[in-house]
Amino acid sequence: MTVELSLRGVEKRYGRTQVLSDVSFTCPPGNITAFCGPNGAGKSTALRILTGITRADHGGALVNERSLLSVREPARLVGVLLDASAFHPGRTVRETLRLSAFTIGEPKQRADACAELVGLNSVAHRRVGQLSLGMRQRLGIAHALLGRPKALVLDEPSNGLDPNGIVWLDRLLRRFADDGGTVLISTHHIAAVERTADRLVAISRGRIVADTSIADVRGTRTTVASNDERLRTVLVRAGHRVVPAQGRYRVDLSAPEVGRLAMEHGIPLTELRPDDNCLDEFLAEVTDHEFAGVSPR
Amino acid sequence: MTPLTRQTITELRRAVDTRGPQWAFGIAIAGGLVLSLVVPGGTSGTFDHFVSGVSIGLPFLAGLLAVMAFTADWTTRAALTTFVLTTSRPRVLVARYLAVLCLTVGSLIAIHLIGALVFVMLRPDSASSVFTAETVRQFGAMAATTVASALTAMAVGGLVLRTAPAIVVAVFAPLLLTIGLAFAPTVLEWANPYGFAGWLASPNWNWTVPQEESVGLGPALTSFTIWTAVPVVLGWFRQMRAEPR
Repeated sequence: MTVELSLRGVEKRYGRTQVLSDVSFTCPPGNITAFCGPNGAGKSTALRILTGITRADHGGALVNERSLLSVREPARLVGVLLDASAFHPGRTVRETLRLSAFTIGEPKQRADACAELVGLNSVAHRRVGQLSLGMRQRLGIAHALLGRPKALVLDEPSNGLDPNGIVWLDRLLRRFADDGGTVLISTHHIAAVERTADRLVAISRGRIVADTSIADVRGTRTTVASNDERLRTVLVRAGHRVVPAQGRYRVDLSAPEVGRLAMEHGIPLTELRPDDNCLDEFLAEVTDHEFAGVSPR
Repeated sequence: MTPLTRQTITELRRAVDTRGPQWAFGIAIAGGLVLSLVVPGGTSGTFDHFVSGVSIGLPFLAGLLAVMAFTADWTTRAALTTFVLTTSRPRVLVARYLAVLCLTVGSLIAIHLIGALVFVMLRPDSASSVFTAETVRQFGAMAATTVASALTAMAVGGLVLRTAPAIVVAVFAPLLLTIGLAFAPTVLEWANPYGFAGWLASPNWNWTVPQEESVGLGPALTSFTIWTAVPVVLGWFRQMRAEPR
């Protein structure tokens, strides 16, 4: 069984602030969908609506065309991590996982196995309040995996993880998606998105501003280099944005198109390749340069 | 959907598996025992006399446990996790009510059993006074008072959703109000926070009765409405709508 997650025409207002406006997108199974946007763009609110924690004013969240609230065993369908601090600080890691496992009808061995999977076995006796943020993230991920779900919804799961932890998380999510699972993560780690995500949904000021595949984004960006100084002029005159970068140019045009233009003007190229590190630029553009940590180029 | 029985057991475990409730339980029992042992004549009478001292803190304990059961999730932000696992909030809330009632009755029985054990150890010659008509009557009265106290605390906890203010409102405010209203006996009769508990402990079916005798049905129902029913209803809606932060 596979799970498709979707938001349809979701509107949400807090007081006078419109937090979400007509938010719609779908996360297909077998894919990692990255949900990106500046701070305060509405990512967490959208995820809370998707998981039934917050009510939408209009529109709704669907899991295989049904509301998660009407699903008999939600934890077996969707594993959720919304906030790594949302655990009682006075319980130990083991107690926390075993109690939740009991709630959803899983044996305590499943709780112990999840603790081992995320590398928390050695601190299973520690109280949650004594854990570092990275450990709490791991606990949250273990908690999300307890019910052997078909989909994962994770809000900023890599926050607080060390570099090894981030690599571990990337691999875990990739394996989950490759097994047919659906993954939706909100994140600020663009590098991680570029490494692992298949799809990108960008939100800005409560509106979806991009819903595309990572391959499509990459396909429209090129890194090019030439000793001929006319190259930049030709590209700019053709109406494209050209950004100098370490002796090369980054162009918002596909590599074949750049090659064609260069050939037409008889410009020899020394380098021509799709731009693999273009997501930050793309996000900055679609969010009007609001995206945190991204400087306009 | 998580079966109600399993959800109730979950809530019961949540209510007792952290340090706060465990300390409250330990202090209530130890305090009651110490009080009974140090008060002159505390151990020289019959068991019902002894156990009334041991269980003196029980209504407060029940109130504390009920408040913590209803507010810990919100105070520690664990409500987010709770409602992600069980998306049906009514089910969680019903289970929580049932769990607190079980916990209250369980605490009552535990304290009486511990009291009986200590009493028999101290006064083996009076062991026959442990199970008498008077101890059964007293147990029933204490059960009524404790359950009423837990109901009020659950209602306030569910309405306030924060542990410290809920303890103040549910446990200390009624005490202060009762003392404060001593100069207005008519108001106190009808708005007495302990009116319903008093009536449950010794039911009187007359609408009003002289205050020094007992509590009438009218004041008991008014007390129940003000201190339990209204907060329960408002708290239910609040918990249904509140967003875990």
